[in-house]
Amino acid sequence: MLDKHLIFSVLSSIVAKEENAEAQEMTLNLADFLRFSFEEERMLEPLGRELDGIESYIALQHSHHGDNLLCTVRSSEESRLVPAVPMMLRLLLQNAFKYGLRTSELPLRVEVNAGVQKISGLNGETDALVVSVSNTGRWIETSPGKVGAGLSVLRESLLSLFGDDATLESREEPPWVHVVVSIPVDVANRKYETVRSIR
Amino acid sequence: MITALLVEDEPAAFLWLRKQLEAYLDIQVIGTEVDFFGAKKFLSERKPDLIFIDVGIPGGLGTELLPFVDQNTGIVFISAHEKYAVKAFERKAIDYLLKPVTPERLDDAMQRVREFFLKSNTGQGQEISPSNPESADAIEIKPQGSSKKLLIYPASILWIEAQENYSKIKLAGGDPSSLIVRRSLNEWADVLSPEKFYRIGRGLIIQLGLLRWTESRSRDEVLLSFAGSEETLVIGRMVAAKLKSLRKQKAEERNPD
Repeated sequence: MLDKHLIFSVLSSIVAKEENAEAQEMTLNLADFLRFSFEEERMLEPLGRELDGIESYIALQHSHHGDNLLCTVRSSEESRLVPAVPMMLRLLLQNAFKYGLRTSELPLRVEVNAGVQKISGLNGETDALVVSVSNTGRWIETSPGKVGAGLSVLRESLLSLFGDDATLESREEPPWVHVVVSIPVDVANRKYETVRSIR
Repeated sequence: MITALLVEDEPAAFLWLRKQLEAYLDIQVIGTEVDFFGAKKFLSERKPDLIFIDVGIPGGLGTELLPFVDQNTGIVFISAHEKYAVKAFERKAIDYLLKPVTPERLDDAMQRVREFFLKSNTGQGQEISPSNPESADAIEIKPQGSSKKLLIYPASILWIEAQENYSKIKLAGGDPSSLIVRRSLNEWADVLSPEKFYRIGRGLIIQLGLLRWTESRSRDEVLLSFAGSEETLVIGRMVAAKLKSLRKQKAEERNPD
């Protein structure tokens, strides 16, 4: 078992003793990132929570890679309320940074877009939460036609939570690689209510 | 002047907090204690307006000091523990801060401290502005550079920025889309509904319900766009941190655990 209390107390003392503003900030971001990662994982979480949670993660990547990285996160207020898979954005970002930095011209650009859009489904048009994470790298096939391990885990949890209604797709559109997750809003809300009533 | 007691056993954290508080001229630290018994003794002799209590102090939990704290004293808990450890005491506290505390988060807490004392000084602070019947009605203003008075509706106000003794109002659609009036943000806060308009930072009030998109380019450059306007509002780190904690508060109201 990790002694979390000790970790955060020590990080707090480091911040208090550290004179260098940049080091202070990195330590604060690290603490925030750890706190977010340690959180008891819930089955579903409004996207807004994760949008806030990835801030410190992106800031840490920035302090690590400096000017080699440009990252923009754009989100609508509406999208923040839609229940989604926890750690979904983190996982998509982690992939974008990992493969992007390997294959992109520098600076690597990473863009996150989260909004609610009309999509056409089996029962006509519905509102869907559409989250895309794009980077200026190239798509790396792990094996032909397959997505990487991280993405297939995400695809599985989308399938088990929302059934076929949710999709995860990737496409190349040079210089961009996009990974797009789409979840119908009403399906997500219903599922969220069920999960909460069980709890 | 708000008198404050600091109860914190870790020297580094204690020195940091005391140094940060020096920037708040309306706060005067009148005592510092490093353990439960010292704090208990202090509280039996003096009555500070405000206490910062670290939950993990030697001799007992900081939360166990509550019975010795005067009813009118404001409390801010500080803890490295997960949030739920403090959750039970949340109602009685003005705020709780997780270690390590960021300067932005401390500033946010200090804002709450001021609101707390503002409310308790006026007695029925709650009654002043919420459900103010006039807040839905038009407000008469006299814009700078115009000789005529003008009526504007709060529903169309997107944001208001402070400009010294003046304020710049940004309106949805409309022509003109912004106006400058001789009115301070405090005066605006008195006439606008606090359920719709939020002060995020010293110089900015926004109508949260009309916020549509946020684009974060870096910690220091966050763009907000609102319904009915092409123009974006650029906010910096401090204001972005306040917006974040406001949203968090709203989310907790929506989905209480």
